[in-house]
Amino acid sequence: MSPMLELRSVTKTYGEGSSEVHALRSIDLAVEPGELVAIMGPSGSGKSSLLTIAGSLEDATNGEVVIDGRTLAGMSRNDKAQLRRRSMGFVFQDFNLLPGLTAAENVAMPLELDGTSARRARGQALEALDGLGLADRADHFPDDLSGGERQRVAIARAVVGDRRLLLADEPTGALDSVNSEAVMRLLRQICAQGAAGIVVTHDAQLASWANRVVFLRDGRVVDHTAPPAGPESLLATAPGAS
Amino acid sequence: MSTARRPGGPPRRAMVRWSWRMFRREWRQQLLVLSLVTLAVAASVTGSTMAMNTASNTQAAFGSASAMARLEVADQAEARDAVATARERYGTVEVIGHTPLAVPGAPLPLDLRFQDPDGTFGAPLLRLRDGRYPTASTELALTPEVAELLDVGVGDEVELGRRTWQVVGRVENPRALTDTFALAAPGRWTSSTSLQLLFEQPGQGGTSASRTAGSGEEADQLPIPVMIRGNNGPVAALVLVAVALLMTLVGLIAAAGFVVLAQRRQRQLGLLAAIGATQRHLRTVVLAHGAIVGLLAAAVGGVLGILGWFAAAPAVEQAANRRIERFDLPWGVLAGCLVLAVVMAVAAAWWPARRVARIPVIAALSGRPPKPAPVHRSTIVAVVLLAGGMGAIAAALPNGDKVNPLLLMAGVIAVGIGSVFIAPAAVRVAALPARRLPLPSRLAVRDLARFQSRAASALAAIAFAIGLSVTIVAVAKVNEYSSTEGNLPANQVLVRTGVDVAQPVGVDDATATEQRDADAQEVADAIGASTVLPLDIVMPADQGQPRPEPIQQALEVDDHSWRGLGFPYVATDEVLRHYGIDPASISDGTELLTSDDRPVVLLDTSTRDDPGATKVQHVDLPTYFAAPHALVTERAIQEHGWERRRDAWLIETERPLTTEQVRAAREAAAANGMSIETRISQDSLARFRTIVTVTGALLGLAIVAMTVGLIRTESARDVRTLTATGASGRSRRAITATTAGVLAALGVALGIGGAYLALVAGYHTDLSQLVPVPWIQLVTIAFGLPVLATAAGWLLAGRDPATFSRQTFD
Repeated sequence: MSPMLELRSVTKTYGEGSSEVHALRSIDLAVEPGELVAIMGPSGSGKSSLLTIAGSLEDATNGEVVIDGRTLAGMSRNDKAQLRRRSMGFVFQDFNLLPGLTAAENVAMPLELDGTSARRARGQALEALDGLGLADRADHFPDDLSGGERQRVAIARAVVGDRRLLLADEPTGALDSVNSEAVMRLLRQICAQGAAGIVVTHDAQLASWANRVVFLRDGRVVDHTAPPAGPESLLATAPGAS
Repeated sequence: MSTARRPGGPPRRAMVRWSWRMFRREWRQQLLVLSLVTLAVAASVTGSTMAMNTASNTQAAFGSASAMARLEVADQAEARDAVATARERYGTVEVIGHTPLAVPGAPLPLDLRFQDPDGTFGAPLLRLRDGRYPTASTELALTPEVAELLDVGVGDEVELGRRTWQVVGRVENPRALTDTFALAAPGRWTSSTSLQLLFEQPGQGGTSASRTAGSGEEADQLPIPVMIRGNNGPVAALVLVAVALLMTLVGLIAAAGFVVLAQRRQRQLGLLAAIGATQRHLRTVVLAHGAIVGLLAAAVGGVLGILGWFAAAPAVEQAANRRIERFDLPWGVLAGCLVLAVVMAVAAAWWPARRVARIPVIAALSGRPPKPAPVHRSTIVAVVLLAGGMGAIAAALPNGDKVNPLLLMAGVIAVGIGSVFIAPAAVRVAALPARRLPLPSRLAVRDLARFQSRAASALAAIAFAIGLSVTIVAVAKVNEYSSTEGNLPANQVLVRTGVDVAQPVGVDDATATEQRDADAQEVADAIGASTVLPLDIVMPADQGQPRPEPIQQALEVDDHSWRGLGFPYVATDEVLRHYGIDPASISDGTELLTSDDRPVVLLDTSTRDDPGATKVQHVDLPTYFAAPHALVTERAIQEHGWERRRDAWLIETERPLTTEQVRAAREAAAANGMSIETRISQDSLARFRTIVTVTGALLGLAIVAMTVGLIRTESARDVRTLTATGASGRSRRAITATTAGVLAALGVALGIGGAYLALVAGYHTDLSQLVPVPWIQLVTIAFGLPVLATAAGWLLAGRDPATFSRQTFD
């Protein structure tokens, strides 16, 4: 199986001369479909840069980024935008739902941007929301939703349609522990259904939901580990569990 | 999953929908821009309707006809032949007869009019206000002014033209309210002294302004000038150009508002980009917002404008001198105004849309303001534009008389654009002394220079608004009479024998002159005046003409073409003594004594001969145009065989005349069959200047407020940092106040400078006309606006930042 996302010797440098900062140094990373990868590291280690380069929001200074078999190098801004609409979804710490649009309309937005009719896009958005247990909140505006609900709407927006790469930047940063666990469980479920996911987090406990954890420091991958199976596996192997 | 995709429609609809929802959500924050555009639309709609209705006044005499001819009746048989020829050529021809009748107290002769109220073409020129139309040969209907002058009402009898008439009704000309006449029954036009022929000119379509059918084959059929009704096309074009200029100014201001909006939406637009929106999609959001503002402003402003028109229509009727149907609106021009408003709003949103769409996604998501863009406008280009604009204005007004409107407009636009181009340099200059300023002021002027592209645009808009106001105020001042200008000084009354100011005839009989002198003395007694100066006009030698014109002082404007400068009076000893001119100081052979420095001549219009050179001696006479400003010597009268006739008396009081004295003089003159002239009041010009000054200042203040708000939004992070490092509210107030004050001061400097550059170019032939500088208005703007802007900035700033940790997304 070919990786959904592949970073080959990616480097990212900001500034020039004496103010030059190396955010990423020769990063190699591949994420297979069905795999959830957590990126951890201290502040300034390059986690967010890695995510934005993987999401085509920024260009790498050197190296190659391949998404779903398509290399980003030489791609126009519009082609990258199309790739983001069709192949990947973002989840942000601050939810970033568009005010003025209902939950269903927020979820349908990437599809409508891609030319899907409003009615058809709404149908798919409702399906996505239903899958995340938010069918009854579809016509509510972001102001009327709780933090956990907003983030689930953001996740629905990230996966609606046929997108198979999920990029999440501190998706639980603005949530309490209960909602954080729920969101991570959701991301894990989505990846288990065939999507590839990258989650940037500071929280080791939440990272334990991932199939793999990549540690960054000073722009370099310093460790690359497959953590023990997540908390659910512990429950599954508990004495008396069926 | 396979999905039917259409790249154009759904994304555009999604962007427009979101833009509309955000507008509904945040309309209060857009209220300033929305109000501004709405007011501009309302002003355009009301102004355009007023202009169009006023302009159509020039076509009033045509009624519903497309052509008109005027025929002086010297011979009744010839007149009948001319009418018959016209009917043969044009079919239906309506004839309206006119006969002038002198009425005591009226400035002009009364027009006895023979007209059919149901005439094919002339019906729109008559309206019955009371009673009925005359049907018998002894019946008359009078306009209200004539009825008042003659002090008669419906049912009364009146003596006019040595006949007794029965007044049966009150009428008016709804297309010319000051048209004073007495309407007689139709059918007796053959006894009139002049005829007005109304008819349809085949194939004209109302496109040409005038034409003469006095040559070739047509001349054989109708040997009189035929005037073709013009249309209002050029007026409509001018109105639309004026609206476009207004909308351009408003657009500059609205653009600043849209920048603020784009700034507020930056993170949300970043999110859209992150989920796959292209730059075009992002631009659509802001452009849709501009279109929404434009459409709403067009709808609301259109309604307000029409309501404004309803409110202003009575005053416009007076000014336009015609009855105006309230719903007689120039729909095409109004549609043009509304379309211009929408186009302007979309155009104003274009640059902010383009700019925000180009912000890198990560920067947009983080809410960081974009790096200030350098300004590439060249100061050299600005200087070239300013110089070229001044040249064009000077060329458009070569001698102050003939105007080339296209060149004038091009010049004004070039000066305007030149001011825009010079604005960045002005901002940079303002930042030069920053090092020596206290910290808050230093930050403020440096921020202006950092964000100079935006500050310069706002500065250009302020300068444009101020420049426009200053130009209008200065031109109004130029056209205002000083105490030594105008028709007469405030303490003089000119009493005239006749009622036709344009063609005085005077009295030539010694007995009649003596009687008139006594009548004039009665007027002087009525107002307690001690000085009465008799004035004689000069008539050409009798050549058998029915109504010869007096000798004129004239200026040659072209080969064999002269412009009349008024009728000089005779330089009698009494007149010379009154003006302190020693008769011995008059050189031998002098024909004309005048205060006019130009090469003037004495013109006798009764002959077609070139007047030749006139021997002129310059003397110190009044410059008032109705007062004796030129005198013909006794010697010239003898040499040319001219005649003198008593025509007027200059009555002088010690103090300026009161309203009561003017009324008393008018009543005394009317009682003796004479008319009077007093100083023309120009109070309305002073009010007009004040209104324009206040409007310009308020407009400038609104632009300053928007720009300061914008810059404050962009420098919010710096303010948070300042606050965190211990800056007090006083420092924050000082930053905002300095920003507002500097912008206003620069705008005022550029605006006044640009306006006076254009004015100097416009009045280059006689710069002395600009000397009565409107100091009060200039000082009010120059100091008032920066002080107001500084005070407003100080008062409105100073609150602690709402949040220190992070910016909210929605």
